[in-house]
Amino acid sequence: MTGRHRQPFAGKPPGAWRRAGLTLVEVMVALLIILIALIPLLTMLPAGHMLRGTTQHLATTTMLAERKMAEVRCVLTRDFAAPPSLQGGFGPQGFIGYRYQVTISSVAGRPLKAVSVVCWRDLNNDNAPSAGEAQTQLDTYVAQRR
Amino acid sequence: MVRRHQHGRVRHGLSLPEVLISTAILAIVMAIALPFLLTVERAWSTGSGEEQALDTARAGVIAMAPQARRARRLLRVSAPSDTNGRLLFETTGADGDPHTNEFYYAADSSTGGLGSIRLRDRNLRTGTESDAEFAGPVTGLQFAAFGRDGLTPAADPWRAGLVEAVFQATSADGRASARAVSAIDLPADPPLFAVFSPSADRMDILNNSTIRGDVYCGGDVVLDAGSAVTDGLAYVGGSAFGTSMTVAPGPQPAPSLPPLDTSFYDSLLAQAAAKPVQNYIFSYGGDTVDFASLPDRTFLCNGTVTVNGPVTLTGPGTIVATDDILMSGYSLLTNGIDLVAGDQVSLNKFVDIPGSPFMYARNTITVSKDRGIQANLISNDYIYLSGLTTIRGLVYARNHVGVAARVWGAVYSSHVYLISGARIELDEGLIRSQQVPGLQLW
Repeated sequence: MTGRHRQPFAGKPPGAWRRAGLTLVEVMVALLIILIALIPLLTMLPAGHMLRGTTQHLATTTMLAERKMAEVRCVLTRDFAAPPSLQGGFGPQGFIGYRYQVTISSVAGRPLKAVSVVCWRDLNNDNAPSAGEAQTQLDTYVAQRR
Repeated sequence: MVRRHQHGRVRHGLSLPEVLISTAILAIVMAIALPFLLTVERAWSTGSGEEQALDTARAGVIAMAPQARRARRLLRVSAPSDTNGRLLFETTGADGDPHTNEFYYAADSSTGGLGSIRLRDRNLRTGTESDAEFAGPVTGLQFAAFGRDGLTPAADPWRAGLVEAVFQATSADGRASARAVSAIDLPADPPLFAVFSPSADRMDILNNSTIRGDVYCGGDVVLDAGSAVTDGLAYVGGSAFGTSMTVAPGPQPAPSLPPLDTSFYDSLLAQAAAKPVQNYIFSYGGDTVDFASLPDRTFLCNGTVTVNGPVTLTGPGTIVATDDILMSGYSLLTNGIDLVAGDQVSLNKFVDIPGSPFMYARNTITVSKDRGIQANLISNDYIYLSGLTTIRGLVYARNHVGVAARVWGAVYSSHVYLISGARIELDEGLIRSQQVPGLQLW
């Protein structure tokens, strides 16, 4: 393809110039290439936004898991024989769509309880953490106080 | 298109229709992409604002939680719906003095609704106070107190086991908002009080009486010149009169007396009431009770039990009388004998009870001139302790306790007064080791 460069025109007297421009086909092809290049770029924008959203939801699930863990610690330090597992949501705190599941198990031979708190954003409302849902799991041990 | 100009040059380029068509195609493409781009940009901006707001709120929560976890006693928690939240608690400062710390939301009208979390710190011993911005900017702060199950809302701050803090924040441009939440689990067993008197309009501590440990009175506390509250704070719901005490504000709402569930005692008294009516008198000369031969080692009497000493009864066992239990004259109850009376328990003149888990009276318990009694004294009405008596344990009466004696333990009653050089020293370990049926102090 010749650009818009001035070149001596062969067989013509000096001073006679040919100006080579773009044809419509060339422009269309160029546009098509730009379009093809734009498509993945455009799809990256919402993907980036989604990633940011996921990060934000992860920050929220971590915060809520910490809140739930404090609650479990509060219960276990006072009643070591608390129920083995709990689940529910964070509606009262204003976090609609987030759920938690607490599992408490005894540690054989030791005055300890293993506590696991899973908190997730329940997108599909199945009351269980699923792939693709932002989720945080915190694990700790709580010792018997008395 | 090829065009020949007059001066012999050939120009290849786009004609106007071609340019127009190209531009139109580009415009169509842009028109399709633009709303999408705008949506993405808007979502990005909102997400960014939310993130910023969440970060601000989280920063506040992260800063506050460790400070609030050091609370020794919670004093005030605003209502959960109040977005101008307040949390007041008593704690030990870095200087070792007792302090009150109050987190509160202060709105700033000059910033269009944005405000900050402030911390007011007060040294209770010296009275010095500081007030500084702690976190922000935020648009609201809420607190909620929960009971020891972490779920049931708790109005009484001294019955709270968990405090939830919710921060609300907006982004710098004000377009996005977010909430951050944190829970602060309070100490599992807050310290007991040496004297706890929630319903009193006034508590008198007179005639060189002393209390060692924390005191709570729902009304005024009057301390005369020779009396003192040491090694603890006086949490006062009303006003404090007297100088030999460090005063802390009473909690709001005012706490109530830990309730006594009398069903255990009522059941024993009902069993005694089923027996034939008969009074028993144990006198010097060999009278005794063979607890080992009795069901549940329980001596049941449908009437009054009188012990005219010197008489020694050896437990473990329980004496239940539907009327009074009266003991006097160098009598001794050893090895753990509980007393349950349908009316009153009276211990007079050198009675020695070195290790009874509890004595209960539906009405009054009076203890006078006794050597030493290690027991929890529980009354549905009032207890009066006088005359060189030493009690080791909890003294709990639903209505009144008058102390003109020494108590190593604690005194819990709606109304308490101390006279005649009374001395009360908190002994938490002793009380924890002596379980009282139907009573939960924590």
